[in-house]
Amino acid sequence: MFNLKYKDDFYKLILSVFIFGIILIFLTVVAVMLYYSYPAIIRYGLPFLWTKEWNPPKEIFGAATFIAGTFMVTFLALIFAVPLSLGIGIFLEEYCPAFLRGFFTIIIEILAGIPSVVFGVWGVLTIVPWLRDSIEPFFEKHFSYIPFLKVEENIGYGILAASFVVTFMILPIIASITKDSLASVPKIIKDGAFATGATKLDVIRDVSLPHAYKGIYGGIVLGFGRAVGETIAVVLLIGNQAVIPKSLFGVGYTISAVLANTFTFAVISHIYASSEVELALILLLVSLIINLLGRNVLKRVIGGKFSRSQFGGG
Amino acid sequence: MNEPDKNKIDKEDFHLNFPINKGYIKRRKIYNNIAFILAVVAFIIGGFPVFHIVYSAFIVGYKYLNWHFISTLPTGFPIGAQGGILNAIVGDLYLIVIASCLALPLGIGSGFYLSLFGKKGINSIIRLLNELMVGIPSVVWGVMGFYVLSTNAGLGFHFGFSALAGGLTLGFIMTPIITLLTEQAVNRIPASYIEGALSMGATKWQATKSVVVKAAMGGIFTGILLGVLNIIGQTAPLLFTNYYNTGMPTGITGPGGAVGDLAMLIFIYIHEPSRILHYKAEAASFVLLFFVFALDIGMRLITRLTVKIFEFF
Amino acid sequence: MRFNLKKIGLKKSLASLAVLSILLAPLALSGCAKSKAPATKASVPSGTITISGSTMLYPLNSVWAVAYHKLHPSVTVSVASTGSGFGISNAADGNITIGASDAYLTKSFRKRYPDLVNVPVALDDAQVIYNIPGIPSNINLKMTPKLVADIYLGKIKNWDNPIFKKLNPGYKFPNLHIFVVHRADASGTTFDFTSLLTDTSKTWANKVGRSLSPSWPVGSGYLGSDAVVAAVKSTKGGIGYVGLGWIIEYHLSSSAMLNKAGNYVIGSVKTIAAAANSALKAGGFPTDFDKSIVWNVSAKDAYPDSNFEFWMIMKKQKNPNTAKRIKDLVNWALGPGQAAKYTVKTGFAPLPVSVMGNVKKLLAKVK
Repeated sequence: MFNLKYKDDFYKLILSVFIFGIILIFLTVVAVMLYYSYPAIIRYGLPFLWTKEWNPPKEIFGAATFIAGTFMVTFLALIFAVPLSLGIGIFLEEYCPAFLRGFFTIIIEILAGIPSVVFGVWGVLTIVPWLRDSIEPFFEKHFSYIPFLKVEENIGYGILAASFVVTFMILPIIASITKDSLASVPKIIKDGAFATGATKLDVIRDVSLPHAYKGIYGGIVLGFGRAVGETIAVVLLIGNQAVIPKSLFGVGYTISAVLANTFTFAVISHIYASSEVELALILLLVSLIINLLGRNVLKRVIGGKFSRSQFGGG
Repeated sequence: MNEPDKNKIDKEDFHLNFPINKGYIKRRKIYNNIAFILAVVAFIIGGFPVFHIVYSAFIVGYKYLNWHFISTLPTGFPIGAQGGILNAIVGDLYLIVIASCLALPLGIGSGFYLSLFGKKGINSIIRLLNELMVGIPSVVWGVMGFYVLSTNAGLGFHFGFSALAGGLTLGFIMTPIITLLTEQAVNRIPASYIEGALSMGATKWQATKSVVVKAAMGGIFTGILLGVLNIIGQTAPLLFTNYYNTGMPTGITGPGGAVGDLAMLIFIYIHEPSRILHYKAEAASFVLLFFVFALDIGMRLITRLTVKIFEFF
Repeated sequence: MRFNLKKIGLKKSLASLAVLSILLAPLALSGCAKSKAPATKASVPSGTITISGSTMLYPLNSVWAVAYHKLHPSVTVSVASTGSGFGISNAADGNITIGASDAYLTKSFRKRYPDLVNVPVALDDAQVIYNIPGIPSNINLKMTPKLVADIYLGKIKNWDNPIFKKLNPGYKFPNLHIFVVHRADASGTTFDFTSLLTDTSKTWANKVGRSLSPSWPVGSGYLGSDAVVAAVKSTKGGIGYVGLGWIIEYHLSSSAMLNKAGNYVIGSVKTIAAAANSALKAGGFPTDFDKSIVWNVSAKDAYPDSNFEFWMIMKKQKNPNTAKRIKDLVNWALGPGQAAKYTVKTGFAPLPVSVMGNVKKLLAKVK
């Protein structure tokens, strides 16, 4: 018996090493971010967050333009993606014939697996020419008096192109969580509502959505998290200019894009690298908070079940 | 009380207490139909990119999709104008193997620990950490990989821009995915299976061997495929840890240790002004999508086959 | 459980895979840090040299790599275009063997990396490229550095600005927004380009200055010279800047730039060489080559935005074989590599013979 017990202890020990490995990875990523961004945090303090100038030669570093760009792209993508995903989730769960549901769900979920560089290529070769040749001239002609929709440079690249593509990257997350949340509504409540003569729309509006809204909210939060960190597709599309965009059609810069473009050079100067790591730290903190929020909500609503779409394709 | 009189309905006793207005019913039906149409339109808009991305990758890249493209190294100027993408495919294999070397033991081992030895406290902490790690942006992993694994200055492993640094960084991304899915799979084994084995006097190690691995196989494999699917599309971490190699690697660290990678190849080609390279980027996208979809379908097949013990998706 | 019994084979393979990976992980971690044993036959130890950095120098690096590999099949030269900034910082940190750069090591760089040496290997320039509908593509529009500075400062916003017409009578400029393209990554081309603007425009010098990654007042950024070319080519009204090699490769329209002597000069191998020779003749050119040859050169036919192309190499190489490989490659590039079939054909001017002595002295520092 002693032998067996001993063996189990040994087994437990080995497995604990793996557990320790996971904790170590997590601590390392947090520690690396804190350690390397420390000089910039000390030197620039909180104003780093709202300083607009990013000037490496003069060692003036402020993250405002990148933060603004990141959140503009994210919010715009959410504005596009939320109604679409709600529609998709409702369609798949409520309206779709049962024999097609599996196939249609796969189509949406497969969107989550498409690598972001492929999205980027699609954006550069399809979305940008479309925006440049059709959408922007149209808006320039009819809506140029609205400041937020003013077309300054008819080039296709910019906030709109980036958020357009990001929309489709976060759409499967929100849509499939919406679908799962709607599916978690007890059938008996819905049947009760149908029995009173309610149409499907009535049931969705008055029964399913009120019941599922927390899950949907969780899905939106997770979609937000994915959009904030999106890098490669955004680098290819946003225009990479450190300004706070005045218009949807303007160019901008996001945190992830500036890291992808300049980080390997930034190590040339301690404070430059440190400022860039501070940008990464902001991204890390935002993603941690967002995921903490989103997963807690989801745990309560759909019982900690994962959906395929939550694991993106890079 | 006047409304029911206006709209005569044959079964009058059915609506004693609430008024039924025919126009109201009609309106509701119309709204219902509009909602249906909107939902269908949303679905079509959402599903459209899947087809359009595959279609445009194929229609532009199809003339390069042949054995020669898969089996030769890129040559010519700008590099890639002639030849294929062999460097990227070989490089992807390097990266997947290296990432798996880190992620499989860590992920599967931790998953087993949590369900066999875990206590409530540690389980929820580890699960939380894993869920948070799944959400960390890949560019942050890249920065971490650069400092810890790649760069030869300062603290760290000093692997240089190499397959080992890139692969391990991808391994960090892959680990939480495999852990979460393994844990999920093991937790879904009916408790009686494991308890049965333990009550017969088996150690937990024997129970793992004889019951857990068998029963959780589907879930573990799903996790591995999902992890691989996740990392073959990654570009941002490789920018800082491996970059790109147009030839074959001569090692896995230091100079000559960098490998090609499909996602990086596409990223580099799409920056080029040359049309040929754009076409090749699309062709390479098609190859990458082929791998991604194959993994996705494989994952679903496994889930389908093991559905009795593993209801996940 | 019936299903699971069938899968026992899979289980075993999974277990063995897990065991294998555990065993392999430390092996891989420890075993691969050593470099390959040197070959005994060849005078150059076999192995790999990675050249990464400047996208301007990339065309020349790639033809050199192919040619050198043919001479020494045991040595693989792996070339990547990642931007000069990447080249400098990663050569200094030892992540790559040779960092390619269009920018020399400025004082601040030397302070940060005292062990880095910049070895000139060729000459090139940064030229302004544009895409204006209605202007014949074989014409080199005349531009002044100050005008370019005003465009990049956002002061001149449209191609129908009379100043274009004044400089280039006889051409019809469209009423078209100027789409300013610059580099998003840290770039030596940007360094040379902003050097010219800093030397000629006070506003530019005060507001932006000279840098590999300045803070751009207007425009949008693209990763690498290749992406700049792509953006300018595909967008009407675009303006950007790249090296001569890219202009030759993609048949781009570039501007004739005003030089200090008052002439409008088209960038070519000849005018670049003229700029370098003129700067060297003036005397007192530093032996470390840490001086710009932009603008302040007196020759009539000197292109005002020329520059030396550099290879950044660490003085102290950890591995003596690596040092041998590097020296052999650099010596080859400075000797047979300067032939017109490599340099002129790809849009670079060979180094003047007069500087070779100094260059060799620099190379001797690498050990």
